[in-house]
Amino acid sequence: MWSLIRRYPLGFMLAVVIHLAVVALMVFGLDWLHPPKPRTSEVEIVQAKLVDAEKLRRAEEEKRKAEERKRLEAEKRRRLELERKRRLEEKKRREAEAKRRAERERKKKAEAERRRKEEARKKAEAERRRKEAERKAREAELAAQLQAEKDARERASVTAAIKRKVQNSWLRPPTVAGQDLQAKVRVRLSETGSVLVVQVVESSGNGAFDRSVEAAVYKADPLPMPSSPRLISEFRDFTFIFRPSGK
Amino acid sequence: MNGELSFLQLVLDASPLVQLVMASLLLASVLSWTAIFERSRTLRRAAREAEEFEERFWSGVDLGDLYRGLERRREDLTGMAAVFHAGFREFARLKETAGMDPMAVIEGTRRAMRVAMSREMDSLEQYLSFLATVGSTSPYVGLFGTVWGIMNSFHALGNVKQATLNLVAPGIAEALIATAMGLFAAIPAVVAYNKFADRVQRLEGRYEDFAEEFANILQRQVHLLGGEG
Repeated sequence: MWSLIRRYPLGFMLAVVIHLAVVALMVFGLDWLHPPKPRTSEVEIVQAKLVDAEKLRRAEEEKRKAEERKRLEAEKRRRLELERKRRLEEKKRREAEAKRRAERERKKKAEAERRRKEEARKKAEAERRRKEAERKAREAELAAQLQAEKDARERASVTAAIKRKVQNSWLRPPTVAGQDLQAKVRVRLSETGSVLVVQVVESSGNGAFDRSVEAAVYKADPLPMPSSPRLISEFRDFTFIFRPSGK
Repeated sequence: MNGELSFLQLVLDASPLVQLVMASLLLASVLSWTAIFERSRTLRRAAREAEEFEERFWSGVDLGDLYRGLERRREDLTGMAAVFHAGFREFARLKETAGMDPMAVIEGTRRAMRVAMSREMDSLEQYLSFLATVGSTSPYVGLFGTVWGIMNSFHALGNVKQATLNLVAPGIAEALIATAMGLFAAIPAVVAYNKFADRVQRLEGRYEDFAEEFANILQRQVHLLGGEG
């Protein structure tokens, strides 16, 4: 260790100085090792006084009386206050009662008014409903009429088309030339219009003519059908009179 | 100061063993601070010298000139310069020897540099072990003093009929001073030790890098000469 000190004496000196400083700080700087000084307290001095007993008694009496008076006064004040309060309360109560009654009256009126209004409203509603129903019925009637007209038109047009088609496929048999003949035919069709059964229900009197009409109907298969389903069912089974057109 | 409880009084009133412990701790602290100052200076100087030498070395100066310049003051060469000196001297000697294998020349140079470096490391690490010792043992020494002092004060307590705090408190206070001193010595020593160990390691790394680079330069030169011959 001497070599260390010899190598750098300045460092050694510095170290010693540091330690001396620290020790000095410990010794002189820190007072925490002192016991705290006990603090002496000042004594308060009280002086005694001589008092006359009679005077004291009288003063006491006086004091008692004054207190009594004060008490009575206070009692009276309290009672008055109470009375005032009671009256005030009564008034308040009455006011509240009146208010309540008015309120009830008002409510009743409002209720009656409300009921009246309700009734009026109901009446108006019923009237409105009745009118609505009438209007609807009228409309329905109109619509039915319209529908019927439309149906009639369609029926006529379909019938005409069927007749035309049968007419076109009819071949005049050679034996009936020049005669004015007609036959009533019942035709049953499928939904799509194909011919199922053809039957002459009223003969013309000429067998060849009857057969030629039947053949024409079969040949015209499929017959035109109306577009509305209601009419289709009508056309599933119908009867018509065949009369050759003038050619 | 009212005498009976002052710091100085406490220390002077302590038992001889505790006083001895305190004295040794104080000495250790002083010495460790001396070592701290000394190492700090030495390591700083070594780092600065290494920097300067590297600068000179890489400035493109002729290595022979550099060697001759160092040869004049070879007794007090330190650090990188010493490594360089040892390596170059060995290299020059081996090159003079006739019929030497170039690899053997480089190997020998490396060895010489390694030896010089190890010597340098040794001188850099001097006193660090002392710091480590102070750092690790002085808390124990202080603790020993404390335990001893408390033992004494309790022993004294056993002899009286009425135990009061006044009787034990000074003894414990004086005993605790020993622990405080131990810590006071240990903390700077540990901090300084860690710091210096790190610095020494960095310096060692620098020396090694330098030695390797220098060896590379010499190897190139050897091969150049061999090619000519």
